[in-house]
Amino acid sequence: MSNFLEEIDKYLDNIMTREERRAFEERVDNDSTLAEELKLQKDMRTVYDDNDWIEGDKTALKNDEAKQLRNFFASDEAKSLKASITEVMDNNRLNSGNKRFYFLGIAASIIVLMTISIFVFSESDYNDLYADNIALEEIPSMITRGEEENELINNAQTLFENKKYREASDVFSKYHNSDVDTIDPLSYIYKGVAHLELNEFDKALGQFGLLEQTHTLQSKKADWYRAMVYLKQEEKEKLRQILLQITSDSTNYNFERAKALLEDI
Amino acid sequence: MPTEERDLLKELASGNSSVIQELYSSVFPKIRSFVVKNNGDPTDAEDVFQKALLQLIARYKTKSFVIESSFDGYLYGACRNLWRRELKKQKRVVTKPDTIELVREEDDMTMAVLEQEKWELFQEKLKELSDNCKQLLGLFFQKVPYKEIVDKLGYSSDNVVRQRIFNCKSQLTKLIKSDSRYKQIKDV
Repeated sequence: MSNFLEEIDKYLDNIMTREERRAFEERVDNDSTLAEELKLQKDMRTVYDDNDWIEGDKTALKNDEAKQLRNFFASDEAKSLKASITEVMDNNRLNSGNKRFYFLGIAASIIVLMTISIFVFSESDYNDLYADNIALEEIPSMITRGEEENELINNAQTLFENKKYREASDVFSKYHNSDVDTIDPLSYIYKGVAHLELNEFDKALGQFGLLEQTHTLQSKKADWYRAMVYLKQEEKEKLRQILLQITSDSTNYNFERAKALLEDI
Repeated sequence: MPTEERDLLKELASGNSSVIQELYSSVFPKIRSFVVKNNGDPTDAEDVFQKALLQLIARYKTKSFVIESSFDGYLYGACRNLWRRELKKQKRVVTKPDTIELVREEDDMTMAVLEQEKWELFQEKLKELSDNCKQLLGLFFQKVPYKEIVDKLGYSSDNVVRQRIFNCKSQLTKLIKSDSRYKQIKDV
């Protein structure tokens, strides 16, 4: 086997002469043991390369294990399981961010009760509403496990969680200017909210604009965060307009919350 | 596998939606983040998440299937592999558009499981090697040139490194081939 290995390495490293290569390939065609060894070494090079994946040989579909698996995947049982998983995912997509709605409902009623005799909204009410609605802890985490971890993102998110918004925003800028292939759309939410917390309204709106342009699932959250800017800014008319827009379609992000907020103002 | 995780598999296989929801909450954000960072979008992430769960259930239903690590960690790993597989497929479509063949979904899912099993066996065997071998082979398989390995690890020459890597690779090959599972998956 060792002799094989040496030759196979030469072949895979592409350091054989054309003549040697041809002779080797001819032997592979006629020697099933050598062919098997070659396949194993090739597979090893693919499996242990983190950026690659083996392309399995479809003749394996004929073995017993494969047949059992195949029967399961083609079964009605598998189809109904698939439907259950899809349903869970759909619900999450629609409700994302709505988990605190019931709490919010109660909180909002209390605020309404407390302010029932006050007909004009005072400054502090807007502040309360902002605090109730911004829901910082609900922004999905950007931190992932594994070697792909991006240090800038980890740092930025940690700073954000520690309410160090100035520093977090600086690190997010660094991340946005780095040469990553794709920018995580969540980073625009984080950076935007960091600016918002620092009362830098225009910068916040800029980030939510970028978020919208990512055309990802996250981009649908842009309107809601714009509403948060106007709420904190106490721009009542702009706030009302954008809430009307969000509440015009029940599949919009935070539809229920927007409805409640619209009633509150 | 701790009873807790065996039960989780059983519940999952019965289509219990609260278990699916639990796994969605704990694992999906990481998967989405991984996929989005690697040229995918959230819809791709959902696709991968669904396939990984079905893959787990299929393996549980058709054979004795054991998860050695944590359930969440395992699921995340399976999702990452499915996404790598998807990227490889896309690359093939781009470089060899004529070879696209229509594959039935159940065949494709089956191949994904078989490939995952091969991947797991290979990874498991790599862990059995000495730390030195793991380090050398790690660099070798990530295609780091011998010269760089020499500098990085302070070896005296290319030849020493070449010889060490060759020995480690022989050991690894032997370990893989002597595992009883190899016979079942070698044709994959």
